[in-house]
Amino acid sequence: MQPVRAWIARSPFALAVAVLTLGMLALIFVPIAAIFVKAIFPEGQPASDLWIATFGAPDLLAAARNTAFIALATTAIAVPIGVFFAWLVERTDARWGALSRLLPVIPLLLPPVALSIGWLFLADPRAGFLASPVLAALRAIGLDLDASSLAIQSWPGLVFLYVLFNVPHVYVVAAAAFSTLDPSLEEAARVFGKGRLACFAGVSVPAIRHAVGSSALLCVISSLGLYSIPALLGTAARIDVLSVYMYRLLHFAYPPRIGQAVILGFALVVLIGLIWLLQRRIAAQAGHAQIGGMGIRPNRIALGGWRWPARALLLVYVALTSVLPLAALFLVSLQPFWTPAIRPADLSWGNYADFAAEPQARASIMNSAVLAVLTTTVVVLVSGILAIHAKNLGGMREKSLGLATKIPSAIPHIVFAIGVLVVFGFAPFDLSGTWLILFLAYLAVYFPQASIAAESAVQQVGNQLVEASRVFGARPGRTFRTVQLPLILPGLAAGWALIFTLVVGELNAAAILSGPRNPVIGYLILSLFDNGTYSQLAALGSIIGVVSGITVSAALLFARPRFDQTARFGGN
Amino acid sequence: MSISFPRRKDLTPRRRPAGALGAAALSIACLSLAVPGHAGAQAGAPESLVKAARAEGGAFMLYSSSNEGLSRALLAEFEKEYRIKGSYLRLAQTPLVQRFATEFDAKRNQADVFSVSSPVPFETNPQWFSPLNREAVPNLAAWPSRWVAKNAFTWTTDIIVLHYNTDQVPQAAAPRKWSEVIDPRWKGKILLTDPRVADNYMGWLDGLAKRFGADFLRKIAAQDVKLTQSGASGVQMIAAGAYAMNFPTFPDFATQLMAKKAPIATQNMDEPMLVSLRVIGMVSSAPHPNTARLYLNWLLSENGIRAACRLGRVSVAGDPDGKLGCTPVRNPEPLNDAISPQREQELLRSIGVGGK
Repeated sequence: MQPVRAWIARSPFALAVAVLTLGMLALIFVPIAAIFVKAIFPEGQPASDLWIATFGAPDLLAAARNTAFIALATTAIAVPIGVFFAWLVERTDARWGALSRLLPVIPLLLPPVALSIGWLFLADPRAGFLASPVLAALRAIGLDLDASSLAIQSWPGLVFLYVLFNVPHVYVVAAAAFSTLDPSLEEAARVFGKGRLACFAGVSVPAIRHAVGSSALLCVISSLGLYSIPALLGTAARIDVLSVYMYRLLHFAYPPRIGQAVILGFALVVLIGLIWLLQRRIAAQAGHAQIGGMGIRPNRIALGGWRWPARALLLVYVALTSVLPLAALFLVSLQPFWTPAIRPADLSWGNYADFAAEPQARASIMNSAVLAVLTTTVVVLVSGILAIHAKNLGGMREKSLGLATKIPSAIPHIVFAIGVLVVFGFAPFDLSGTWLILFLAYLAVYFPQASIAAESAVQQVGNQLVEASRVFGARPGRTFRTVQLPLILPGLAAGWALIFTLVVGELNAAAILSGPRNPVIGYLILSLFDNGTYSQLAALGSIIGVVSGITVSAALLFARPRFDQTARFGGN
Repeated sequence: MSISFPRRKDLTPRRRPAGALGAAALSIACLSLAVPGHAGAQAGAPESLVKAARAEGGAFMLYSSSNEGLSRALLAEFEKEYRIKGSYLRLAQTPLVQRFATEFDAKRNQADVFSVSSPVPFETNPQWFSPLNREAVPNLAAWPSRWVAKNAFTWTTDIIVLHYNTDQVPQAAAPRKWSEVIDPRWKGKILLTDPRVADNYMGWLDGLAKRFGADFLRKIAAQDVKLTQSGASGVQMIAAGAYAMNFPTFPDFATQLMAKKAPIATQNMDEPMLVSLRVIGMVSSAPHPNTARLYLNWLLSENGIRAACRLGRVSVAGDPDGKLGCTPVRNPEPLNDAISPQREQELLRSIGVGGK
């Protein structure tokens, strides 16, 4: 015991990191193991016919093919757009004030179910608010198009919404990386005559190569797991994807085909693991810029005559992708039911009054907000600490830890929630029906997103400052608190904003772990999505939008890079 | 106005073949349909049962996949009558069964009464439920025997309906029989609820194919039907005027919209009149067994039936002629609970639904 005590006394921070690592790994793997054993070995024996039934199912191939196409198309479109917007806002004089940092993340403020319904209100070919005026306008100029050619329930419509959902994911990671990037490389490129776009493509983007790779990985993961957009609009277009296919296995089959869903989940784990390793390999092949020991100045590339067109582009993007669907959502939330005929006399706050009058609804909103703040803060901090720890480990141990933290992203939330209920719900923990069980489940299921954001932030931090801290005798805990944490804070804040919105709108784990004693918004959304009216859902979406908007804006503004402090610290 | 969520009928899980037990139950149900129905029991509860229930602390828990608004309103009526408070957990059927099974297996059951729109959980897991008889629940004695099983009873027989937009379809022109939906005038105007999302809808496909042949399903597909992922979204598309009609679906999905004066109407479809059964039982390890018995007894009483039919648009099995205010059901055909995967694929191919 003596050496252990000595070690603890020497480095309590290292002990905390070890405990955190083991705790997180247990939180991820114990529920997965519980459900894996239950599903794959139903009678204590491996069931080969389960594998045959899983991969021999007639609709699986089409769902896998469609998913692959959507994930690739989405990533190919969303990553360049998100990175470009991040560059415009963080590295050029196109930004104007703190507001511009928030514009591209507005679509993030709505849960995907509300976003997809907002777009249904706008772009349904027969009843959408936009469809009729657009068709009439086209007719006026001689283009007599069939209404269905503008349907949001189509391949282009589906990819459009996936891109819309994913651009903010890319943006927050890329913007965090750009915000901490030393501008000297760009300045040098400009001095040597490189044009603005050439500077963007040839200098700025390669300098945040790791963040670009991370955001592409996030795009792929979120495209694989996205449910409500393909369920609402893909079903109508008769385009099946894996998330809907797996949801049907779990929700619409009796007895539920958990075994098949688990096998498909593990196939996705392998796929995501391979993509993650590939992304790491590509990012490692050529170096990326890191925060050095010298302070940085917020010098921005002057766009000259392109400044206002760039701003206009941002505004058009925000209008097309956020303002219109939010407006549609808000409008329908005031209607008694969704109808393209807008009658001012019918508009009222009735749907909001319903929520205010309903104690269960009020409790759900309050619980979700508090739970989201707690969960998100803890998961982001823990992932930040572990990302630093993993970087220190290096080699295979770093890769293994990185891979382990990505595994929950491929397990359907409902499957994971069953595992959590089995392990923590009853004796000896007895957490069924409590906040804590939801907290534990959310920690695990959102760890992949948090760790991707944290890894990206950590990779941007060079070793000079850490080494300097050590040279001056600071212990690891102090180095983390005073050197590493402030530097990775913008990246962690980006991850915080992203995960907060995901936790607030989470549906499937809530279906298993939430109940009358611990209601959350997911429980409400599920009820409204399946049984309520779109007007009620639009009202709830608007409430979530406001709560998320205030919280995310505060997080992003609070954690913006402190250039002044850095400059003082660096003495540049 | 309160937030009230209509019944999520179309999320009845897709059931696997229930084997001999399910087939036998179905046969018995079909055979017994030939017997004319009679009204449910009228009696109140014995004083001893009321005392025993109150002695359990004056509370109980209902696990149900049915309409949240209806569950809440019925519990309030029950509380008014017996001064015993009930709470509920409402989830879609499969998550509800998963949650219940996990709690039951861990010997931490919280549910006293369990209600789903399928007899299958009661048939395949009899150990979950207590035997029901007239000693345990006195009003069962007067409930139509065809709807009483060893450990559960059928409470409602819910008709599969068609919703239509009244601005686009005059009442006189609305289809009344399933054979009328293939009329060419409805081409391009039909929104079909995705049959893959619910056993009820697979049963509907099966029922139509049995009555008219698979070619009838192909004729429906040839109407250029569009798909929606649930009855809840379907009826809202109809209210918005995106399509003229939506089927298969259930009346409850339209209740809130009709109350808000949306231009929609419900048509009870006939020939065949296909019905989904809501089955209720008492959990064998119920924390409040006497309160559970009292609640079930009340549901079967005249007061319970009248309350259910006043609060929701339901067809209660104890009032087939609608004398107590329920939606009458004549010549109902219960949906098939035991469709094989091969049969499902055939039916889906016929109606043109599947991955592409």
